[in-house]
Amino acid sequence: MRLMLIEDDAVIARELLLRWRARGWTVEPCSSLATADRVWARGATGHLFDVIVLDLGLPDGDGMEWLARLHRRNRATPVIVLTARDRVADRILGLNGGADDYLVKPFDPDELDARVEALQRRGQMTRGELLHYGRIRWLGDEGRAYVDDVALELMPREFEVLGLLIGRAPRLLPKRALIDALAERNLEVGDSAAEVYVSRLRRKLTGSGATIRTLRGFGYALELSALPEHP
Amino acid sequence: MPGVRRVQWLKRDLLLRLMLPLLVIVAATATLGAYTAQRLTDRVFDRWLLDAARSVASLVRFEQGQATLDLPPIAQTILLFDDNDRTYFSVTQGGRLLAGRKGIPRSGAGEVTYLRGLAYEAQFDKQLVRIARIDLDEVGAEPVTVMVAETQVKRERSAQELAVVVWLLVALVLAAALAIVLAVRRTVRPLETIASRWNERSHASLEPIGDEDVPRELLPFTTALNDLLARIRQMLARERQFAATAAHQLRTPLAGLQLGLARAATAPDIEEARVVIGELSHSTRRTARLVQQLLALGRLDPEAIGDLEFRKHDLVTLAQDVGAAHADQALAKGVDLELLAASRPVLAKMIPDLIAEALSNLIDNAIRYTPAGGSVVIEVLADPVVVRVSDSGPGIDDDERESVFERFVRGRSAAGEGSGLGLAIVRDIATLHHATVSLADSPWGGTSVALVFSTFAAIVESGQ
Repeated sequence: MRLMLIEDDAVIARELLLRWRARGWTVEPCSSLATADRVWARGATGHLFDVIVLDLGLPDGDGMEWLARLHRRNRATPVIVLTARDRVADRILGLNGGADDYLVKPFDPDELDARVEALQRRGQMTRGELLHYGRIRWLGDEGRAYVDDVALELMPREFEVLGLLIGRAPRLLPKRALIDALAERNLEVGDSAAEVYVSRLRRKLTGSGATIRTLRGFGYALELSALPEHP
Repeated sequence: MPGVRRVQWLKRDLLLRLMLPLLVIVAATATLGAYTAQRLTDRVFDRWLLDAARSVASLVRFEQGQATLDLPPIAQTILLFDDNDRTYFSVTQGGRLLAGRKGIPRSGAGEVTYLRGLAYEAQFDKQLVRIARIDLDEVGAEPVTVMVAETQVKRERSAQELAVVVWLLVALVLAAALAIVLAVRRTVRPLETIASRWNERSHASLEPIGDEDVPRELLPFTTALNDLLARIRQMLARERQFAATAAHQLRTPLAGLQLGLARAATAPDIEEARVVIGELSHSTRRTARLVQQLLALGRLDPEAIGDLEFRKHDLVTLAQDVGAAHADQALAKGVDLELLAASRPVLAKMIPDLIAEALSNLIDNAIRYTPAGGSVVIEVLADPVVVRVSDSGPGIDDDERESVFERFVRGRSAAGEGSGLGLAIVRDIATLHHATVSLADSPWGGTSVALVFSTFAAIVESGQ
């Protein structure tokens, strides 16, 4: 895992750096947007970072503006925003403003790790790399998915839906995001068709150790079924 | 320059607006007056001169085409006598001099034609003279010309007298200008007095400003300012009260943290310390949540939200956004989160940020108090406009249904969890929207909290 950490608070930056280095992750810390720009320019060619962790209140500007600048050049690297802005409206604004995830300070470090890993998976999924989730392996390049070593018989749209679910797991994949992402891959589906693909995929995943949960009115989430299922 | 705002100066503008017209009017009057007076005196002097010429002409006799002048010496003396000016005359027929001085010019500049003759200015005898000329035509005779010339001392003197009058006028104008400057200064002085009175006050003082000696036209300003100061005083008082409450509420969990840290520090082995530290991270989360809710409550101050605008907003989209923000919390806890809403928008007049805050609190409470495997259902109803959050949690006893809306009051079943602020926040936001909050038993077994919008806020989209 290669991370870019843009955070000006020395204590938080140090703790995260120590924590992530202990996990064997590579971290490039930046204490200002100017440093972030330099680091980014250095690695602009080629895929340097899996995930960017961005604080909003930085000494030389607003993180959201930096994010908008970044997105004009690059959309592939997922960004998680860390912030002390706690209003519900801020959270919604942050997600709509192009952040892939949003965590309010103070946060549980384990949760941050889990979200960073999910974002890494999502980036890998976008680039068509190999994804692991539980016993499932998803090979974007080949267009095939396996449970252990058994190939899953999936239609192209089901395959993409599985990729998108793994990219977000174990968190919510909003239905809107699912339909939009399929449309981006030229696989247009309607509202009810999406439900059909998800329920077919759910059947095909029986016994894979993972289940698709429906949050009615919101979307779907892929979970490892370590816990007993709740219908 | 377009786009640049001109600074307004009362004093300068008043002066400009009074002085400019005054100067223009006076200058025009003086010029016109001087010109008219000059013209009038010129005419008067010209007529005298013409009269003299006519009396000479009346003495001309014609005999067989030959003109003669019978001018007795005493008449000539009377004609030529003048205290100030030198007078000349000539009578000629066909260029032949009959009487008087030779060589008086027959024409010149500034010619004016009168009924009997004309007057003009010309050089004669090495000086500038005014000349009156009369031509006498007799049948069968060569025409006779009578000319009387006069130096211009009298005329110049009267012009000088006119100039004195003009200068007097200028002096009057200056006096008027001075009066205007003084008047403007005196009128503007109360403004400056008030400004300096405001400036002399301590900048931290929020006491009202005295309005004695304030002109009536300025009273609205002082009153408005004093009202503003009063509002700020109230706001500060509330703010202080709030800060005191917040500090008090935060001390309790901090004290807990301190005790826990002390226990961890003296724990006999690392395993026991780990257990304590695990508990501490839980109470850190609680404190963080308390801080968030205190801030949310602080933002609800009616003065602080004075600038926020009520606008039409779709409750379905809002519930989707806010619910999605809590989806991960529900997933992590194994609680089913559902949204039941029509596919068309349900509009209501609201401050969307605040309704989002209220809904977020309701959903958070529901997920928090619902055990794993339970469900939380968000409903958006159109007629009447209602947002309802129901859960399958333990529910709230009837006797507690009023008190849970008070600040820092928690239900009995809320074992040590929340801050006791969530529902207080919801109620404050509802009140602000003329909406009501009601608690009921939920069809899923737990509590159901409904935010019922009144007709003021609800604009039900008639099925289009």
